[in-house]
Amino acid sequence: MTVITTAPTAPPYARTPLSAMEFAERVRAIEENLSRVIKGKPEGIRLLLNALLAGGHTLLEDVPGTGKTTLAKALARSIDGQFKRIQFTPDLLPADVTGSSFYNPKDGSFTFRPGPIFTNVLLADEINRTSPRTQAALLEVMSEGQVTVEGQQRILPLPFLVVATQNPSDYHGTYPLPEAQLDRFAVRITLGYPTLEDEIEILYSQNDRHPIDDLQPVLSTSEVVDLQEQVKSVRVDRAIAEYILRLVDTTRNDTRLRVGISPRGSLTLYRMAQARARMESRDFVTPDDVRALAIAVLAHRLQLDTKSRYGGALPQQIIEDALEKTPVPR
Amino acid sequence: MSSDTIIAREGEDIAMGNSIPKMPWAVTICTFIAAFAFYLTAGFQPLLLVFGAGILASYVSSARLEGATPLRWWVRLALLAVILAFNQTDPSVGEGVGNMRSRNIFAQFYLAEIMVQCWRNRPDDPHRSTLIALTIAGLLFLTASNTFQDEYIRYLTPVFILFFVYGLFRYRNRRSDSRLTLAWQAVAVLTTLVIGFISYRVIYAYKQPLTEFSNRFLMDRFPMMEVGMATQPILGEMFGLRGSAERVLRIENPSGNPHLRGMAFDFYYSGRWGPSFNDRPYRSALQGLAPEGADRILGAETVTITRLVGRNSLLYAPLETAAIDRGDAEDVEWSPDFGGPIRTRFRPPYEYILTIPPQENYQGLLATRLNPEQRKRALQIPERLDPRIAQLAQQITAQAKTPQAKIEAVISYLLANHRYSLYFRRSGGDPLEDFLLTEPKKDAHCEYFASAATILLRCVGVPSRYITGYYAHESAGENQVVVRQRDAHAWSEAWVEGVGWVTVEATPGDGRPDAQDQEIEWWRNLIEKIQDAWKAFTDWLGERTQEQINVTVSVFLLGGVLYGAFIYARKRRAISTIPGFAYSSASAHLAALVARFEAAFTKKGVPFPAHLTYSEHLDNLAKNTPEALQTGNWIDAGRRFIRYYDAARFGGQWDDATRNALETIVQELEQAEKSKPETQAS
Repeated sequence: MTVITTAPTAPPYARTPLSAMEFAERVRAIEENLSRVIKGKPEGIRLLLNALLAGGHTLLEDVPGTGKTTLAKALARSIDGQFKRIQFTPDLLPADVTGSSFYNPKDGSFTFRPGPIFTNVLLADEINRTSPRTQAALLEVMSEGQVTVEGQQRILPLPFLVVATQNPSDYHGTYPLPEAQLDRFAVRITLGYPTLEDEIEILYSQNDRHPIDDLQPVLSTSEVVDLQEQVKSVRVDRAIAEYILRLVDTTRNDTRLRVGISPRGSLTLYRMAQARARMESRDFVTPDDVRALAIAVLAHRLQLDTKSRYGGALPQQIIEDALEKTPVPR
Repeated sequence: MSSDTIIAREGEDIAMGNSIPKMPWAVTICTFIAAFAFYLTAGFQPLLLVFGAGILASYVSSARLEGATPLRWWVRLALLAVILAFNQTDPSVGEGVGNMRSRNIFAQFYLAEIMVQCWRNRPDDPHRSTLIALTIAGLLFLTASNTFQDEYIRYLTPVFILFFVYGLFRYRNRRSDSRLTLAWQAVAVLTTLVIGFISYRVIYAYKQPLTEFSNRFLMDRFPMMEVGMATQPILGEMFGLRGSAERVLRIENPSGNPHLRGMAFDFYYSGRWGPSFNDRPYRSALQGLAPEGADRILGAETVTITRLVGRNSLLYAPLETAAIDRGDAEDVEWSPDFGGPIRTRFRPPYEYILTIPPQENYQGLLATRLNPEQRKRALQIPERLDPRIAQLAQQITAQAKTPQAKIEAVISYLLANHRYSLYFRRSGGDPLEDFLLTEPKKDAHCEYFASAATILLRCVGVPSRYITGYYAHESAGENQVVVRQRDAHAWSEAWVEGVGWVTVEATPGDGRPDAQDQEIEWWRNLIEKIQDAWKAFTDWLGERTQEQINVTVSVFLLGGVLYGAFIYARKRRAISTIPGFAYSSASAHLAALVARFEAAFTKKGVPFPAHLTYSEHLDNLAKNTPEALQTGNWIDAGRRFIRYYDAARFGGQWDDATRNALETIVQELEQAEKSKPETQAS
């Protein structure tokens, strides 16, 4: 099997690491950029950046019209890299995502035409409006950063980030995402309706033109890779790791669940906590980081059993229970 | 740097698992004091030396028993085996927890366990070993203190308590970083010594009830027998185990005589009666117990006695017994030349049947005729006995001519001049001289009255001997009498020419077991009912055939196995938790600081809940500040503390600056806590 690398941006490992100050400056810059477009949602923005720094994919889930796509686009614009968008429709096919070979009549050969997936930031809009068959095309690329098409592995450029949006799964015309797909998203972010004040500001700010049109990139792709590398050096005390595992373990023993948190889930929580500590200008993780992220990182991975699903239990509630039950390391 | 800091560092190393954990010296010294006290009580035992060396070796060696390995249990088992091998049962010594042997075994095992704790490595909770070792050292010291030779205990106790308290501080490790000046340290040592002396005085003042209490668990004075049934009775301060209401004998169809003899003693020397149970000539009693003609005595009754429990194995019988049918007490032998005892190798429960003639003074089996040698022994007076006792005896019996009159005179003298008390306050010397000659006349228990009567009678030429046994009086249903441990009693027997042996009861009426008894507790009644029911059940079982029993047992076993398998299968499904629910621990010094920090908030009424981080709790407090925190900058100080703490705990920044900063904030909080009432007062 041949391996084809299309990665144009080689990771700049040789560069000197950023200082805490520089790191915070970069994060603040992109944060300001995003908050210009999305008003009154600083937590959502920070979570999105957190996922970006941890090298994780983001699922934005909410009712239509709350700014999911706008946020995703704003992020893509803030990074000076390739940005592509797939509008997931019911008739989309896997080859439309990954790309396919076509016959070149000039020299009689087959040439591979990469799909929209070969990019730095992929906006998978309305991801649950396509069939599970097409959704499954994303499984390999999201977890391994590579695509296998027609027997050939193709490695994607770095950084690679999927920002998907979806309406809640019980809305019309949606296919629920499979568990395997959900587990590949680092966080699920719910934006919610803006407050009255914020919404008034939104109305006036879009009077002439959408502020997203004025956004300028503030980070290069290599800088993003740099930041992501930086995150890995954050210290995680053994007690913190134990805390993460204890939380995860509590869900595995929860009788209301069909499936608890996978090791991928605990791994993601670990990395996300590191990124959050960096964003707070710390070089070590505290239990506060883990607790602040637990719901966003873990809740969407849970599969309730039938009885509790119809009994009105929420995955979020189960994580809250686990946080309540588990003693904090001190 | 003061020595306190060094101590803190040492504790820290243990907590971080960086170096080999070592038992604090205070605990080891504590242990050695206890072991020394035990040596003084129980004499030299090689194992004590071995284990002591083992404890010291743990300071030199770096090998350790790791926390989770099952190896430590094998070590314990091996040590137990060694201890048991070194303390093998002497067949003449009884069994049970009360004797010297088991006390030695306990003490040796305590020391062995402390040694195991010294060698343990417990990274998750290094101070637990310290606490366990301290507790066991305390037990060892208590075991050693259970003695009548209390002269040295009063010097050892304060020292022991001093190191015990110091060891406790090391366990808590709270004060390790507070800087005590030398003067304060001296004051602390002195205070502890004073407390030690005071505790000793208190214990000494309440020695009687304490001894009584501890004797129920560990009675080292009576290594083989039950109370008052010592192999060699010693006139002590207490009448042993008076108060245990355990049933010893059940008598069906009792005779009129309540005195059930166990043993008779001839030699008196300095508060001690002999010869020892084991030093007598015994002979097999296959025929001897049923003399010819005993079955033809007119009006003789048969009395069935069941020995229910007991660590000795005597056959108790009244003086006038004509014959003893051994029943199911096999392998019986007796020592007729010394007036008994009759003993068996059979373990209780067993049953034997007595033939009791109606004549009160029937000279039967136990009242063997006095031959010259026995007469000599029954008149023996210790050489060094104070001559005033003989004078006293002469005075008492000046008017009496016949042996009967002399006996009556002695009894009435004792009853008139002495009162009964379970406790005898010794003032030194031969206890009998102390009892008879000290003015004002002393109170004592039955052992003294019986010994005094025996010796006084001997002084005036009446052969007599000292008897221990039970005083049977408690009716239990129709024609049935129950004898309990607390019915133990002592009396004398005297030889009256022309009549034979007679019972001499010189103890005041209010001192006899029937007058001393208390109500039987309800739970004991219940236990006895259960015991009886069990006995009835086993008797019933004895009548079933082997097949019936086999089938029943198999059915029960099968059911149990199935049930166990079911439980196991359910458990297996449930087991998937992370093993060990303790988080990797912080350094001991940091933990101590945090404990003080938490304590300051707890005192304010806002303790930190286990499921919130410190900052979350402070955020909640900031949002909704309780009244107690409104003065002072508690929340600010708390946040500052947490910033340093997080860096130290999770960021690995455990340097002097962080330490000092944390220390300062904690002190600030503690000061704020203390100064608050003053501001209110002013």
